[in-house]
Amino acid sequence: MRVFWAVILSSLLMVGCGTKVTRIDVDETVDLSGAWNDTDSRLVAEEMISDALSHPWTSDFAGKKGRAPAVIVGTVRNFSHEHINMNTFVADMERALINSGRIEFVASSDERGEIREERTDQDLNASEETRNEAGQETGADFMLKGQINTIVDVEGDEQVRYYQVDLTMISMADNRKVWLGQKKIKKLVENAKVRY
Amino acid sequence: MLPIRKTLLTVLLPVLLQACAVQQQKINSLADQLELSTPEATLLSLQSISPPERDRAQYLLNTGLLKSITGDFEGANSDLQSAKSILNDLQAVSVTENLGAAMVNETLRSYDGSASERVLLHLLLSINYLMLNNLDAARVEVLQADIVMKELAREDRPIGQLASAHYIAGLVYELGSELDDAMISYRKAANIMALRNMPPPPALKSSLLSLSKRLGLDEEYEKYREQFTFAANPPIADAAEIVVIYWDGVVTGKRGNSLSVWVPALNQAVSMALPYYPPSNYVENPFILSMAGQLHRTEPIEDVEALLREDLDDESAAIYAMTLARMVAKYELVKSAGNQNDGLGLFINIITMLSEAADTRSWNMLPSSIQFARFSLPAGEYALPLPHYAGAQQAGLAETKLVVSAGEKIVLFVPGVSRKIFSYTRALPQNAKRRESRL
Repeated sequence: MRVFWAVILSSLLMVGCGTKVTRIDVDETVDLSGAWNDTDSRLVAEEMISDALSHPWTSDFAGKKGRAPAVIVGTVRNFSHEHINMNTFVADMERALINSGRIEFVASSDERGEIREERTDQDLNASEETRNEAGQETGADFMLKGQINTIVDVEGDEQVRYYQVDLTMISMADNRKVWLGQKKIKKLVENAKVRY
Repeated sequence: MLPIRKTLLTVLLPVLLQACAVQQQKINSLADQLELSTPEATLLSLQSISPPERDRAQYLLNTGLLKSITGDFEGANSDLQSAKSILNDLQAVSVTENLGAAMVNETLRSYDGSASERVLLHLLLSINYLMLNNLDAARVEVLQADIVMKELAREDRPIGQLASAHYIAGLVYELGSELDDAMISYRKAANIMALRNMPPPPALKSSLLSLSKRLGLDEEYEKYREQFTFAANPPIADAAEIVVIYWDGVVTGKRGNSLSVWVPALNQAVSMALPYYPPSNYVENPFILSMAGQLHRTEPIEDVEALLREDLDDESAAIYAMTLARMVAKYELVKSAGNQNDGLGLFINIITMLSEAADTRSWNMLPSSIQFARFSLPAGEYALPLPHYAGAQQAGLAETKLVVSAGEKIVLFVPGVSRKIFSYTRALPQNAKRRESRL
């Protein structure tokens, strides 16, 4: 009889549990589900761009042309088993590239459309002194493309998730691949067997 | 604890449970009426119901499905992704819910979906993402479906193994030009159908034939050609490839069987309630397209009615065991109360009988069968036929014309009860187009 009432009471008590929010540092690593998260995105972007900039293609280009190479980020495709927000990953890479100070960055094709629209509007409406002319854009010298792949091995409540991020820097002038980067992450995810 | 508090709680508990049971009856009734009503009206009625937190996943699965078949794919994905997240969290065994199920009834557990429902969730999401022109996201869902099917895989029975999920996976890979992976998925679909003694539909046959030929798998191609007694159709110049995904009917909802008997030897009434699926009234109705002088009809790749019965049958041993444990627990409870006071014993006995209820929750707005058709269509403009459900409501059809260009792959999603047709078009890349023309 007591067990019966204990079950009823504990169920009612659990219903009363509310949401708790704690603010944490953005650099703090919190792995909840084992899925690709902000830390993976940031660390992979930083490490891969650091690797890209440590190779001679930037200095070779600067030596030949006398200026820093202009890079555009092309398509980075998600071939993984998770819905990964590629926008944050691409933004992390752009930030790492720009902050290096060793390359210039040009707007992506999506961004360019909006800018050109604004420039056309300036042509009609902005004053002579503030107007920006068409035809003055900086063309990209290299395009960064890539993909994220995963292999998931499942056994019961355990999963091994293997992520592989491949990035390629391609010369726009002649399609040469001047840098190939690869970063791998492996996670063992053990799902809870029991919950309250 | 004071007797008055006990009595209050004892009275309130079945009242609360009955309130939840009424809501479940409303949801079951809405599902039963879906074929006769419209998904829009059903969605509105469903949204007026506030489900208890433990039924949230079932509620979201149904709202997500209704949003999908009415064309609100963004809204559908939001609901279905939330449902997925809940179902994933619920895969761990709950101590309190099991205790509740052992003491009161099975509906005190959170709804965590049957094996097939968990896979069908990914299947629907992948279709939705395709209709949103997001092939990469559709690919994510077919990969997740594959992981769930691997988790559920057993050697004795194909529980949670869905040919339709593998066929959609093959289609998604094919649309992304990943032909090797597509071939693997089509093979898996055929193997699962063979395990369930279902003949592969022409859409699957033609996918296996054409892909084995394109991949140069000569031995395999010959094997299929002999088995299916027809050869792969040669590619037609200036034609597109059409794949039709047709959802036919609405699956039969679960019902509960209750039994209460007075057992003189125990000196109390004993109750039990078990869920079951009544015989299905589903009559298969293919979607027939008459285009370019030819008739194309969809054929089933998945008998959802059978799948859900298979799932329940697989769960039945655990349900029976829990029912037996609950009968013993309730017997002890009534006996203990009767030892204190005869009147209290009788009162608790009535309460234990009232609280006994079968768990009739299911994803009850799914189709009865999932059908496919696959064929080539010369470039041009075509009038799309109506699903047989459309009847007099032809004006409600979302798309009536299909414009076809050479080299395209077009996926039509036809949820029969919605009287709407949705499409995804994948234009063949230029370099691929050149390769195709040489085949």
